Amino acid sequence: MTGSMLIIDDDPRIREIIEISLEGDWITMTASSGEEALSVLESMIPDVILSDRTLPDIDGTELILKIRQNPNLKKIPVILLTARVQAQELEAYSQQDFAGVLSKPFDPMTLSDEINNILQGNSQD
Amino acid sequence: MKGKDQFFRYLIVGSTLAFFAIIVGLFWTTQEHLNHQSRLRLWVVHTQQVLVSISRLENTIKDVQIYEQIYGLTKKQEYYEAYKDSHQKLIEILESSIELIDDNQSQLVRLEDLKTKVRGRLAFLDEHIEQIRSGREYLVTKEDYDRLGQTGLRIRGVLKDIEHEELELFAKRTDELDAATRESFLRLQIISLVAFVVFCVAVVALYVVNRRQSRQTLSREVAYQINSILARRISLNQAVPECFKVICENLGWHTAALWRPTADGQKLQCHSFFANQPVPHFAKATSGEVERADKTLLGKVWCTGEPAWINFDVHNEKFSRENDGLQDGLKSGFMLPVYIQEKFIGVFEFFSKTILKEDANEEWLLKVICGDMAQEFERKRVEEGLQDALSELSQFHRFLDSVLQNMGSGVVVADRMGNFLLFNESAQRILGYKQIDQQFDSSQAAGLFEEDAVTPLKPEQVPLTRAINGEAVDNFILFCKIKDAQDGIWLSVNGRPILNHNGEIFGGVVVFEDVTLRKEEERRTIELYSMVSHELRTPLTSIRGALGLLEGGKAGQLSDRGKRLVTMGRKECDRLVRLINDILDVQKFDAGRLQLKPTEIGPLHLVERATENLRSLADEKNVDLQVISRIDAGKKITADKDRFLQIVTNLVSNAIKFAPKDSRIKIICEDQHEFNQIRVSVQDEGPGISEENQTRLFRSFEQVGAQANSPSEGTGLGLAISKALVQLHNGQIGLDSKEGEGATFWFTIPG
Repeated sequence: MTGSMLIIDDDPRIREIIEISLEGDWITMTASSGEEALSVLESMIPDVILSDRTLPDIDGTELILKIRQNPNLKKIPVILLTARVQAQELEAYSQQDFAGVLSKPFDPMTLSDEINNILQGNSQD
Repeated sequence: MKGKDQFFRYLIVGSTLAFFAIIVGLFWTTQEHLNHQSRLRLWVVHTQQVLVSISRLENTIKDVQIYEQIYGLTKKQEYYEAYKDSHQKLIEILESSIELIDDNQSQLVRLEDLKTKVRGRLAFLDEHIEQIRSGREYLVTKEDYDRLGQTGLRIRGVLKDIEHEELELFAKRTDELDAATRESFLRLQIISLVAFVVFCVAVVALYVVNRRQSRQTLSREVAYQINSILARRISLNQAVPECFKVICENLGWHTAALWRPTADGQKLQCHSFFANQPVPHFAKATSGEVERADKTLLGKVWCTGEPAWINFDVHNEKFSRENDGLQDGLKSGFMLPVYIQEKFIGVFEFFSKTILKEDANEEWLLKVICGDMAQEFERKRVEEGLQDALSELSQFHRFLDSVLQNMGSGVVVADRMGNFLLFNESAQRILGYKQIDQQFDSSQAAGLFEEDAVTPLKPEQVPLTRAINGEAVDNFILFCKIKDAQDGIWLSVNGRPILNHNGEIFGGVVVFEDVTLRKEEERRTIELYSMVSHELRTPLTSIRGALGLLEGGKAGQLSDRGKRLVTMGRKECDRLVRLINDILDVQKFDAGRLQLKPTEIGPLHLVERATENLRSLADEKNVDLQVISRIDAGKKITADKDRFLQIVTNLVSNAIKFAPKDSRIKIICEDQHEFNQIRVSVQDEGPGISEENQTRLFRSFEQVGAQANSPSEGTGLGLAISKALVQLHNGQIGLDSKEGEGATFWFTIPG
């Protein structure tokens, strides 16, 4: 299956690695900040959003709230990709409307499978 | 004593009643007599009256006759008048005589006869006098005279008869009266006698009772005086001789002494001695110590608990002071052992210069008085003990108070009703206010939050409330917003219920410290670690991603060497990531913040999954991973799933690391019903670990073994973290190994 994905990360290197990782599996577009992401989302609606936690202008956890304000984007799954993976941080994410959380660093070769697992509602166990 | 008094009281009342009964009885019968007597007296008087009336009758008859003759001779009007008067008088007397004697028939007949005769004579005289008045010469014939003379004689005869009978009656009635009077007198004499006897008895009884009562009054008086001496709160050494003085002066004793047991309770010692007048010999002899044995009289009294009377004239070989007493003129004595609630107080001695015989009353009296004194000794002793204990207690209290007030921790004590019993200075300093005047309200928790400083604390979570409700609170961290202050403080609170002597909850105590600085430091540390972790991960993500893509051939086919090098870089990168994760775990564990999220897990399933994840690693060395199940596949335990996986992964990857090529690793999962736990053991065929190294193994950053020989892929933290995680699960972790014979790492988790 080939869906569209919006990748939001302020680090261009990471954006590139993700894009390469998902090559062939996903049609990707990128945004480097929350503001940019929101403007992209005004013109198009991706199948899934993969967002970093820490963005220069907005926090990933706040960004999802803004995204959800748009009625068209209410149902879009948002996956958080973050380097902040301490227990209490993970706890905080679980309170929010993320489809799943992926931790940095990730294995680029299995990233696509993991995203699919999350979208199919399969957790690892 | 009391019984006898009662008896005498009854005697008095009885004799008084008897006295009245007899008097009333006697008066009752005597009354009859007296009535009879007064009737007799009336009769006598009556008879006398009759006699008087008869003699007046006789005289009046003569008067009439005389006045008639005088008038006949003188013809004077005045004699006529006199005649008429006496005539009239005679009739009246006659009538009244008849009235007087109306009860006597024979006399009445005589009187009627007399009446007729007197009337006849009067008629004759009237006729005679009328003739004289009319002036006619009336000749009195001889017959007339004779007739007058005869009637006169007859009248006198009748009068004599009447008089005679009345005299007889008089004599008889006088006799009767006399007899009756004598009898009445006799009866009165008897009454007086009986009254006198009864009176005497009553007087004697009254005297006896009075005497006894006065003895009792005396004893009460003595007891009162002694009580007032004892109440003066002077020392016993002063009080006892004063009491003895009162007893001797009031109850007729001369000398008194008190023997008290020594401190060890083995002997008796003379505590006080008192004598009205000097008794030098006896005083000297009354000293020293006496054993508790039948050898001496005192010892015997002590042993038996029975009082003893002493007569100095009768030799008693057990009483050694006999001669000394006799020299000082003492004649008798009494020894009284005194107990208060079965506790021996001492022996009281009293000696007298007169011979006092054994006397139950005296004994009773002394028992009462000495009992009072002994009671006071005991009370004073207890009081002194209490005083000591109190001063010790207040000393201790001051000590405790100064500790409590000056200690760094805040201490607050409240009772069940919510009254603050203690609110020490540190509590006031930490909380910034005094609360001692207020009530503790367990129904609210205003200004208190959980450790996160956001979630308000529920009233039932407040440590003091929990302590008052009987719960122990340990190291409970809460956030407290101080009134009128922007910030709050974190408190670490320990609480305990306070029980009263019945084991019921009386209140609660909390001890707390301001841990804000520690919390802030902790927070900074966490932030630092979090930041470092994040900052390391971000470049690692790029490196790991780039290497992963290269390795995965996303940048075109690599040469074998290039691929080997990229794989090496990727593996080291993975190791670096694990190291970062492990360091975070260790830091959390050290800070006590490593928290489990226990759920129901299937241990066998997780062991298999961990093994499966490591199979590729094992394949590199051609190591066979074999899971052996000795557990029900459906067995569930409560544990943190991720952490359980982490432990198994650590142990198995550790085993793979040190396993020689082409060897086998057994992973055994077993259910130890008997210990109520599951056990997972990982058995390798590696070089084994020496005993000295075994102890160092579970410490952080220590990797024992062939670092030089085999490429190390661990972080050195795996075992330390595993140990910490197993301990958080209340399990055990260990190692069985001998050098050269492989090693078995195992852990258990309750389930």
